[in-house]
Amino acid sequence: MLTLKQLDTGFITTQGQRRILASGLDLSAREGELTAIVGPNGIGKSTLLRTIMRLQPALGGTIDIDGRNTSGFSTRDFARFCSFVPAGKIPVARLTVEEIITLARYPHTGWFGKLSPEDIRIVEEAIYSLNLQDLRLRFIDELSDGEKQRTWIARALAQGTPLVILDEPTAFLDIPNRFEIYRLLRQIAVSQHRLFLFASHDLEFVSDMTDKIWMLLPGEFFEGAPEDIISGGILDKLFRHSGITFHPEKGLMFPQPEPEKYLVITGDSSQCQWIKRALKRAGFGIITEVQQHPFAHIFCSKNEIVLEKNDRKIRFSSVYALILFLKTNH
Amino acid sequence: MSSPEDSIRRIIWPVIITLLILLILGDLLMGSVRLSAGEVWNSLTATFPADDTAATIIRQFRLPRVMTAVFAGMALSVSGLLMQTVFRNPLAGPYVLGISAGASLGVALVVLGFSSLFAFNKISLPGNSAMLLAAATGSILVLLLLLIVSARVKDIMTILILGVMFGSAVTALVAILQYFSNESMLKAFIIWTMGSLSSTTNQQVYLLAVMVILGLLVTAMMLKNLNILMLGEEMAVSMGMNLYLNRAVIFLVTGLLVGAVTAYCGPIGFIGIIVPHIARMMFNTSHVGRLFPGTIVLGAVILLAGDLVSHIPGKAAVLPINAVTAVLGVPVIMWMILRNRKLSALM
Repeated sequence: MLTLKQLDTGFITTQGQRRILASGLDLSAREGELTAIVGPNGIGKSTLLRTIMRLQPALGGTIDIDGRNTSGFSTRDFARFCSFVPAGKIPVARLTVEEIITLARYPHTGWFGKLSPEDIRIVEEAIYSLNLQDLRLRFIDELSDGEKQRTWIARALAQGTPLVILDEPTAFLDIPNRFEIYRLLRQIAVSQHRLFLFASHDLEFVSDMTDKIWMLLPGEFFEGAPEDIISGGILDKLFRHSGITFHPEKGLMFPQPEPEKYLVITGDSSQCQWIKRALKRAGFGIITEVQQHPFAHIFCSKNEIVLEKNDRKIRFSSVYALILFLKTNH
Repeated sequence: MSSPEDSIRRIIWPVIITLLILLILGDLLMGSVRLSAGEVWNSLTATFPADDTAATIIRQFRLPRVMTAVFAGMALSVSGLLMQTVFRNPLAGPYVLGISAGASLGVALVVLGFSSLFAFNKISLPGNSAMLLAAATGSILVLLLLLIVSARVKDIMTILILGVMFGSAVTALVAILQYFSNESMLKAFIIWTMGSLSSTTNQQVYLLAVMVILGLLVTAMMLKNLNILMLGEEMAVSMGMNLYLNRAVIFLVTGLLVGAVTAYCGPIGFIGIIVPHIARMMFNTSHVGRLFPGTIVLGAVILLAGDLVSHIPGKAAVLPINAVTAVLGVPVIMWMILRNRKLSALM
C-alpha cells in the first residue's frame, strides 16, 4: 500500500527557489489495483510520479510504502519495492527483449549479475505475463511501439517489485494497443497482486478500466473510483472553459459552433446518423421538421443520398461528396 | 532462425584469435632490418640465441613495440566502449573527457616549457621518464577536475560538453606553449603528438601491461552496471544503481587506461571510437557484457594492423601511427554513418 501524506511536489530552481506544483497531497493506492493519475498538462503528474520514484526530492510531507517512509530506504532497497516505466521512447538498440527483461534482476544479483533459478523463473513469468514469448530473441529497436511498451512493462515486472510506476504508458499507442496494455495491467494487478500507478490522458479507458483515480487540478486534488469522480462532477472541472463534457455513455462530447444554416434529414435512420454527424462537423444544424426555413432537404437510403433544394434533386454516392457539394455551393 | 549469418557468427572467435596471432608474428617481422621468420622464432625461444644482433632487435625493440600495440589497442578500445556507454553517444571516444589533452599539456610543459626555461639543449624523447610523469600528471589533473564536476552535475550531456570544453582550453594552453618554443623542441613535441608505439622499453611495457590489465579487470567487474546504464541513467537509478559512484569509477578507469597509453605512445586517435562499433557489428549486440571480450581482442588486432601498415617495407622510416589510424579510421566511420543512416542505430 502506497500512502502520500501531506506531500508537496515540485522542484528547486538553480537559484535555490522552491517551485511547488502540488501541495498537501493526501492520496493512497493499494496492491491488486490500477490507479491512474489524471489532470491537465503541466499540473505535475510526471513530477508526482518522479517524486514517488525518488528521482526528484519531495518538498514536504512523506511517502510511505506499507507504512514505511521511503526516504529511509537505500537506493538498492527501494529498487526492490518500486520499479519504473518512464515516459517517452528509450533509445536502445541491439538489445533483445529477453536481455532487457533479464537486466531487471540487477538489484537482486551479485557483482557479475549471475542469475539464480529463481531469477530465471521471475524473468520467464514476466515474459509470459506480457505475451512476449515469441519476441524474446528480437531486438527492441525492431519492435512496434506496442511491443516495445510491453517489453518495458515486463522489465519492470521482472524487477520483482510490488509497486510499478508508469509514466503515460500508452502515449504512443493506437487504440487496440492501448486496450491491450490496460487489459494486461488489470490482469497482472489482480493475479500477481501488484500496485500499478500511472499517469494517463486516456479518459475513456481510465474511467472504464482503473480501480481508482487520483485527480490533480490547480490548487485541489481528489481521489476515488472513476464513478465517484464522474458523478461528483469533478471530472468536468478538468474541462473547465473548454466546453467539453464527459458523458457516461457516449464518452467525451465536444462543443459545436452555433450553425448558420439548417437542414432537414429524413430516411433510413442508421444511414442518417452518420450523415448528421458529418453535417454537424461541417457547421450545419439539423432539424426534423420543416419550420425554420431549412436550407435544403436530404433524403437518405441505403444506396444513395438525395439533396433537394428549390425543387432540384441531386444524387450523391458518398457522404464526402455531399459535404463537398454543400461547402462549395451556398 | 539459423541463417548464413549464424554460421558466420560461430567462426568469428576462431578468426579473430587467428588474426591476432598472425598479426603479432607479422608485426615482429616488420622493421628496418630484414629478419627471417626463423631468426625471429629463434630469437624469441632460444635461451642463448645464436645471433646476438637479431636477438637484440627482436627482444629489445620489436617485442616491446608489438606488446605496446596489443595493450594500447585493448586499452583504447575498452575506454571507447566505456565512454560510449556512459554518454550513450556513438561518437564518444577515449578523448572526450579531455584526458589526452591533459597529457599533452603535461608533455608540452616538460618538452616546451621547462626545456626552454632551463635551456636544456637536448631532450631525448623516447623513454624519458620526465615526459611520462608529465603526461600522467596532466591526465590525472584533468580527470580530477572532471570528477569534481560530475559529482555536482546530474545531466550526463553537460559533463560531455564540459569534457570537450576542458579539452579545448587545455589545447589552447598547449598552443601558447608551442608558439613560444624553439624549433627543435617544437618538432620533438609535434612528433610526440603523432603517436608512436616504438618508444617503449621492455620495463615500460610491463608497467603499461599492469595498468591496462588492472583497468580491464575493474571494467569486467563493472559490466553489470554498464549494461544497466545502457537503459538510461534514470532507469539505472530506479534499478538501484549508485549513479555518482559508478560514474566516478568509470571515469577513473578510463583515465587510467587512456592516461597510461597516452603517456607511453602519445595520443592515438580513432581506435577508441571505431573498435566498439566494429565489435557491435560483428557480434550484433549492444550488450556490454557480450561486447567486452570482443572489443578487447579487436582493439589489439586493429592497432597491430595499423602498426603493420605504418612500416614501409624495406625502409627504416615508419609512418606516424596517429596518421595511419586516422587514414584507416575515417573511412570506416564514414561508411558506418552512411550505412546506418541514423547515428543512434550505431549503438
